[in-house]
Amino acid sequence: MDKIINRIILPIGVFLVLISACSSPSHKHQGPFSEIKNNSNPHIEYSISSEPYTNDIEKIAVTNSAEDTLFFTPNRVNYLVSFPCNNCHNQDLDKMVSTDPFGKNAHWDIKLNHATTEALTCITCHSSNNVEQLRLNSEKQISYNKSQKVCAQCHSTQTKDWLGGAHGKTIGAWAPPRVSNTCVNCHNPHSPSFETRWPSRLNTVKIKELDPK
Amino acid sequence: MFFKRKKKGNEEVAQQKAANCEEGSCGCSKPDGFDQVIKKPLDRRSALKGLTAGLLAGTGFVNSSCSITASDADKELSSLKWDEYFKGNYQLMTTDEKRSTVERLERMYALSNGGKINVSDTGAVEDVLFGYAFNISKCQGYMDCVNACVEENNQDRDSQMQYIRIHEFKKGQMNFEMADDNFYHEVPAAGHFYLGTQCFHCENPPCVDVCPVKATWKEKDGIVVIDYDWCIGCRYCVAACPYDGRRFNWSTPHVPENELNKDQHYLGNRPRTKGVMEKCTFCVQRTRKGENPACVEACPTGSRIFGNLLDPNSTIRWVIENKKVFRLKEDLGTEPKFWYFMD
Repeated sequence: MDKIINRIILPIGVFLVLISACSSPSHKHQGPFSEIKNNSNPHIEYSISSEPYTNDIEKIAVTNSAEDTLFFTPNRVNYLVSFPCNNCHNQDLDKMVSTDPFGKNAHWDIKLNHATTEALTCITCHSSNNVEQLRLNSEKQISYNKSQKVCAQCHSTQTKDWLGGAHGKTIGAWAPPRVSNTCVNCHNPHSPSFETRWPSRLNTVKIKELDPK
Repeated sequence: MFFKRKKKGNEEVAQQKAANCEEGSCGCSKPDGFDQVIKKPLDRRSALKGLTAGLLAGTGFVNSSCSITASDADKELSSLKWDEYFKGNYQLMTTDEKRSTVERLERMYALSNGGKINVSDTGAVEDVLFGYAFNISKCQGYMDCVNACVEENNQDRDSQMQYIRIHEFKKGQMNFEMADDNFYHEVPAAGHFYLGTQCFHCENPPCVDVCPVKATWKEKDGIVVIDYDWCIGCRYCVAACPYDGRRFNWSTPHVPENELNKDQHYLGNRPRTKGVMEKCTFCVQRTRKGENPACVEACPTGSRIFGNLLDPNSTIRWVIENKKVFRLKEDLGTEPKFWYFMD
């Protein structure tokens, strides 16, 4: 009898006690996930706001299909160097044809480095009969302040991430209301990829190696 | 009968030990740390030595504050230094004591440097737990975040202290021993990706557990902070941190007067002294007012996302719930509040 208790019942008992100790709710390590779950509050009344850090930005609301405001982007039109276009152009785009085959066309300095020329030309995004507006594939015209809708036609994953907050950059403050850069605040729409450059500083050790003084 | 046999064996060992102790040949009769330091028998010579050292330091303060030749500013400064020297741990201070402490620091700066600094004692904002996400597909290794961090947090320029490290990895692996932290070429390099580390503000911070003087702790909003004037510089926390998050001031930190960030927080970027720890505080002086940390603001690629984990509508929550995220060394149970994700 003594043998049975020692060899079978005792180890099982110890095992059960250990299991119950491990799975008890008063476990010491409560990670951020459980803390987030326990303390999340969808209606937080913040005593702080992004206002003081974004009040110099004129904001444009980004809305969903039900016209609810999701967040804000900076006004784009205010920052365009040559806008409105009718300062120079008084004709529609399709009537402006270069007469000098060897001279420089208007906006000659813009090099389109975005997808292929088979997929994209100037008038894929710029409205040919109203230069003040951008153009969607449905021929609907849209303001420069809502340019993200043009990009969203192809870049749907990036748009989804941007709306949620994983892509792009929040400006000024983490506190609500959220103000985020729109696509063209970071990407040049005519050449959207980022360029390689030297880092803005070098690592400590490397500097010492290069300049031992 | 296995258990019984073992028990018998233990008893034998214990008996043997006891026998050895009586002979005085084992270590257990030696005084422990408490006996060595606190209950140390004090002879006349060492008592006088300690007393004289204390008196000399004290008379220095008193001398200049009572002197007829010293100016009023000098007198005030030395009296403030006296108060500063005997202040308590920030965690134990009442709201009024915190207020008077930061005002004293502002006054001391005005007296000794002639300028005005703003030292804040702002506490954690209600319903806020800070979290951070880092997009390893987007980071290009530009290092703009490091520059912004150094300028914002008044880090020592001589030793080039940096809280953030940007590691360059060859695509296809993520071994930190193979990472290049000293990259010196145009970035991004083809076939490489970049990953930044800093203090992760763990929910179970091992650095806090090991601090022998409670000079570091986790605030209510999840930021792990240091009381620079309470730190004794033992560097236990450096050894305990699995993420290389902590930095030590081996020399007196130096920041040129015109580069000093005068918008400071007691637990954040106020100037440190030689021999104390410091680290990333999620820019407590900015974030408790709602502003983004300096690294988030400086990043030109949008790799850095910061926000309130308790707010289901925040961008950080969206990232954690919708992207494939991971954290470093999750198996340690430190629960860092710093997530990495990919596009």
